[in-house]
Formats: sequence, C-alpha cells, structure tokens
Amino acid sequence: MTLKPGSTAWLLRHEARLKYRGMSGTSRAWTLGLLGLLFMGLLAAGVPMGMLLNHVEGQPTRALLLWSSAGLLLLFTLMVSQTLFSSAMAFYARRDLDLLLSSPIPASRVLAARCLALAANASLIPLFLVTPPALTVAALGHPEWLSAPVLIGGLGLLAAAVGLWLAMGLFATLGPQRTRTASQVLSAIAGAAFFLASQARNWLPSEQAAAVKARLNALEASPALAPGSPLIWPAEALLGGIGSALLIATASAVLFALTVTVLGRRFAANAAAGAGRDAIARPARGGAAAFSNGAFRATVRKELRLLQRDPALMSQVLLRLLYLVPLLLLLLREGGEGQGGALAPLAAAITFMTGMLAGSLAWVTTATEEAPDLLVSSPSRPGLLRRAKLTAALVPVALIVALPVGFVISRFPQAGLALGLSCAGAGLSAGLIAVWLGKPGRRAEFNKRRHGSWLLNVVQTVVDGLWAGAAYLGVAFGLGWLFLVAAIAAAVTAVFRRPAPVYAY
Amino acid sequence: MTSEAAPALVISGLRKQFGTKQAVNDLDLTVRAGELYALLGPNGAGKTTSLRMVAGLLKPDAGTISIFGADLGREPARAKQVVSWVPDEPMLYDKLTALEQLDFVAGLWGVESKQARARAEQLLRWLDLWDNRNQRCESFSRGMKQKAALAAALIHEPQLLILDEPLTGLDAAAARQVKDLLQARVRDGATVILTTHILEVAERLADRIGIIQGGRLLAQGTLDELQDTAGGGRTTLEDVFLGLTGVPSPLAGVEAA
Repeated sequence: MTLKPGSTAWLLRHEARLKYRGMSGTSRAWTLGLLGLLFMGLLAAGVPMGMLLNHVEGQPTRALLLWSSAGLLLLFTLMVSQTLFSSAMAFYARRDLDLLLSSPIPASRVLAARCLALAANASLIPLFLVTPPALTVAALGHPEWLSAPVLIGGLGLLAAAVGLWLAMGLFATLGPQRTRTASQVLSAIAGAAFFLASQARNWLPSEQAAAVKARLNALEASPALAPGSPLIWPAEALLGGIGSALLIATASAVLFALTVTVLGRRFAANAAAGAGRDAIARPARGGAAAFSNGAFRATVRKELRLLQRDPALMSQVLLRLLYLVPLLLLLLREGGEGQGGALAPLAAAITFMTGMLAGSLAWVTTATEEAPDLLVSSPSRPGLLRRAKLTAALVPVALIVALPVGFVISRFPQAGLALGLSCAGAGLSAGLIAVWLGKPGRRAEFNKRRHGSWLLNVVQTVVDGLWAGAAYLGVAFGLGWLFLVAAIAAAVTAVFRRPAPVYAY
Repeated sequence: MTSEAAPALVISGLRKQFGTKQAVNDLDLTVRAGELYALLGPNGAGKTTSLRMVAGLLKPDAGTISIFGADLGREPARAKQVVSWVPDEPMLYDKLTALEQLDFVAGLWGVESKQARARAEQLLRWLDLWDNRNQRCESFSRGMKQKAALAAALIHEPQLLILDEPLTGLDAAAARQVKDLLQARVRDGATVILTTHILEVAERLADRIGIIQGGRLLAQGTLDELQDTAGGGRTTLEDVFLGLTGVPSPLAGVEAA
C-alpha cells in the first residue's frame, strides 16, 4: 500500500516498521507464526462464548461487573505504566526526533503520530486478545459484544494521554535524564503494585487482613459501584454495553487529542532541550581514588562503577526484587511469630530470585562490554577478565541476599544455612551460565537479552529451579537433601561450561 | 632514531581474507625502533586490517608478526605488553571518568598503582584534561575523547604505539597537542605507527612512509626516497601517493587541454 509521504499514516507506518525491525529475524518468524495460531484459537474460543450467550438472559450480575472492573483497572494501570515509560523513551531517548522535527513535515503531525504509536503500543496486546472472540461472538448474533475492542482502543488512547501528562510532570520536576529512570521505576511499581496487593492476604498480619476484607465487602455494597454508575461503565462496556463503550472511546479520543495539542509542542521543546543534557559534565564521586593493582581488581572495580552509574539498567534489574517484597514480609511475619511452616517455599522463592538476579547482572558485566578491543589488545588473560566480571556481578547479589539469609540464620540456624548455601549455589550457577551462554549485546537491550538464545533461557530456568528445589528440600528435610539436589544442579551447570573466549592471540 | 636496534615491527607474508575479498595480501613490512612510520593508502587498502592484526585483534590467515623480537603468535602476552592500539573510534567507557579510564587500562597492563597514578596525572596535564579528570567520558567532546584514549594508551609507556586516524575530528589545537605528544614519544625512544588520510601530517611528522594498496605494500621510505621511486618529477607526497596508487587527478584532462 502506498501512503503519502509525510502523512500521519506514513509516519505511523515508520513507527511500526521500527518496532518490527526491533525483533530479530528468527524471533520475527516465530512470533508471527505463534500469533497466527493464537488468532485462530481466539476466533474459535468465541464459538462456545457465543453459544453460551444464547442461553443467558438479562444484565450481567453485580459480582461479574465488579470483577470485570477490577480486571479493567489492572489493565489500565499496566497500560499507563507502559505509556509512561514509552513516552519518556520516545521523546527523550530516541535520537530521530531531531531529524523528524527538522523536516518540512509539520511538528504537530510528527508528535501526533508518535503519540498514536504510544497508544497503539499499549493497547495492541489486549486488542489482539479481545477482538477475535468478539468477532466470532458478533457473527453468532451478538454484535453488541464488539463493544469490548472499542473499549480497549479507547483505554489505549486514555492511557497514552495519562502517560504523556505524567512524563511531562516528571520532566518538569526531575529533568530529562532522571525522567527516563523515574518513569521506568514508576511503571514497574505500578505493574508490581497489583501483585503486591493480591498477595496482601498472605503477608498482612491476620487482623489487618480481616479488616481489609471487611472494607472490600463494604465497598462492594456501595451505591457508587452499583450497575449504571459511571464507575461501572467500563465493565458494562466490556460486557456488551456498546453505548458505554462508544462514550468512553469518544471521551478518551477527545482527551487524547487535547493532550497532543497541549503537550505536543512542549514535548518537542523539552526533547530539544534535553538532547544535549546527557553531555553535561557530571563529576563522579570517588573518581580520584588510588589506582587499582592488577587486571582482576581493575576490572571488578570498573564493572561495579559501570553498574552503579547506570540507574536505568539497575532499576530494570532490581525492580524484579519488588516481587520479593511480599515473600520477605511473610518471612518476617513467620519469623516474628516464631513459626517456620512456610520457610521452605519461601527459601525456594528467594533462591530462585537470587539465580535470576545473578544471571541478569552477569549478562550485563560480561556480554555488554563496551570496549572489547581494549581487552583483547591487552596482555591480560581472557579467563582472568571473565572471572573478574563474574565477581563484579555477584557482589551486589550477595549484598542483597545477605539480608534475608542473615535474618533466617538468626531465627532458624539450620534453615538459614540451607538458604545461604542454595543462594550461593544459585548465584554462582546462574552467573556462570550467563557468562558461558550469553550472547553479546548492549546494556540498552537488557530486556531483549534472552531473545534468540533459547538455550540460555531453558538452562537458566532449569538450573534456577533445581537450586530452588535444593533450598526447599534443605529447609524442609535437612542438608542431606540439599546436597543431593545441589550436586545435580552443579552437574547440569558444568555441562554447559564453555572455555574462555579465544582471542586472536 | 637507532638504526642498529632490533626492529620494532617485522611483518612477513601477512595475509587476511574476508569472504572473497583479500584484505591483506602477502604484506611484508619492517618498522625500525624509534621511528614514526606513516602507513598510507586509499580506503579499503588494508591499512586498518593490517594494524588490527598487529594489535592482536585479528588473527592472520598466514604470515608472522614480530614485535621487538616477540612473535605475536607464540608469545602474545609478551608482544602485547609493549604495544598500544588507538583506533579511530576511541575505546572508552562513557560512564567512567578520564582518571578511572586510565586506572582500568593501567590495571589491564599490570602497571603498579602508584606509578600509574603519577603517570596518569602527567599525561592528563600534558593533554589539558587534568581539570576534567573526574568527569565522565560521555560528557567529553570528540577531541577530548580522542585525547583521553591517547592518554590511556600511553599509561603503560608502550614501546610501540599504533594509531588509526588519530587526528580525525580534532580541532587545530587538539591536533597540535596530539602531534606534539607523538613526536615527544618518538624523541623518548618509542616507535609510532599511524595511518592517516591527511597527507600533510605524514609529510611533516613521519620519518618513513609506507604506501599500501590492495593489501600489498607498494612502496616505503623517506619522502625523498618515495619521490625517487615515483619519478616523473613528483614533488609532493600527494603527487607521489596519487602516482603510485594510480588515482588520476580529476583535473588532469582539463589541464592538458
């Protein structure tokens, strides 16, 4: 299809092409194949839904509306978190904005296309999941169910508008560079908040958990959440309320258009102002310290400095620890009450997270070397440099894990020993696997590090799982069981050993 | 310059092929200790590939490289210990400061920490980077980055310094500083090999010049020797270079008419 160069559609196609090219060739083919299969499956899933609807009469129940509202709230939060991060990246991290804005295409069109791409990006997956069954259901005599994709599209526009306002607020208060990191942190927290809330029953003390439940029950009976109330419109729209869906979509589109009009030029101005800000001279703390002795120390020190000075990357790595918070709270509750009943699964979860964290950091320190030629041209042995990089990756992991391990040791010494041993083993195994199997990449591609490396994915997950199992058995049944499974985990790790990289010489 | 000393670099029968392209083709080259040698050639002549092999970054398909008597293939650590490689794109870590960069490189080459610290100060002062020593390299201009990379390359006092297009993107003042530093290194007894497209630089700085094309050495020697080799009354290095590499002047036909 030929699009008029410079038109909004042409710009949107440019955005889509960049997104598509971001996938590797292999993953493109796989992804498209899987999506095709999934699409057919979702179309087929609409058949029983449509048949079921033929036998259902009346309006959705209050409970169904409330659960749907909760689900939509979760979806919207995730969409906002995604558009917040994407808008910060789209306006302050991508370097093509100067090119586009210096072209004769009106700036308003460039910015509108970019904002539309943000909205499309946020709603693409939910739209893909909702549209095929809605089409089938509509074909089976319930066209009003096309309201669901209309609603999702509207929510995408609304999420983009909210994300843009939030990003602008962050820019105004924190500046361009911190906006990227803060948006990353905020978006991850928003995503994790639901997980934390869903686990509240587990980690809250029993009295507080009962109080929360009572409040939720009272909320359920509130008139504000009765059918027909504006707060319930989105749920009604999801469940076939075409009027509510059109209303929400129209209001979202208007808000989106206003946001683009009001903020568009401000974003462009901010992006231009922020373009050179990365280059502003920033002194580094402790830079004039004594020099290192030897390649090992120098490399460990260099890697730790690089980790410390990449807050965007570190937040990506460390934010997965948010999911440990409910586990740690549960651990504290168990320890405080002098119980150890849930220690074994907790130890397994903490060990698994340790492996994941160590694997991530080891990939960063070894596979994202910025000056490989410098290392190769030096007389230092590759094996020594690789060990130094692995050490640098494991230092922060050890510091983080020391907290729960120390706590458990103080309360349940034998269980603490088992947890400490399995965490050490998981960290080392995961680090070694990342070093041996990780493919070179750039730090900015941290989230894509596992693309195209299925072996790394599988082996890392299996070994992390084995160490988690060792922790579980060690805490529940004694150290003998831990050593047995640990030996298996170590053996599996050793199978994938690769020699140090072969330099030209 | 000490002509009696062992050669800094001896390349014999060096070959490197990428796919069907023969990048370096039976290259023989000797660089004397203590000289500044300029390697010239048109784009794609094999200059950078040859020097990357000397720096130990590429393994040749055939041939040998000897650096101050150490065979790079047999004793890579000994050979690399005395070499520094400065590519046209500076090998720097954006998030490290200039001083930290030098700290890391000194560690890689095993320089004792106190000695490295003193040497770093000397180099950074010389290159006007001392006041910026605690700034991250990401904030540096192109010239500052090139100078920081040069300082890092000199931190272990290499006997053989190899630079690929060291003056690319530098302003006049920075270029002068780099040229002065290279000449000072040569005066102190080090050997410098550089590639450049700026023929005046080679003409003014180099003790000897080698001209390479198609992965082979066409000619080498002092400027006088090259003028004799090229013949035909060619007086400038540019004339010699264009004559030897067979690239005609675009105005040749016009002038003749």
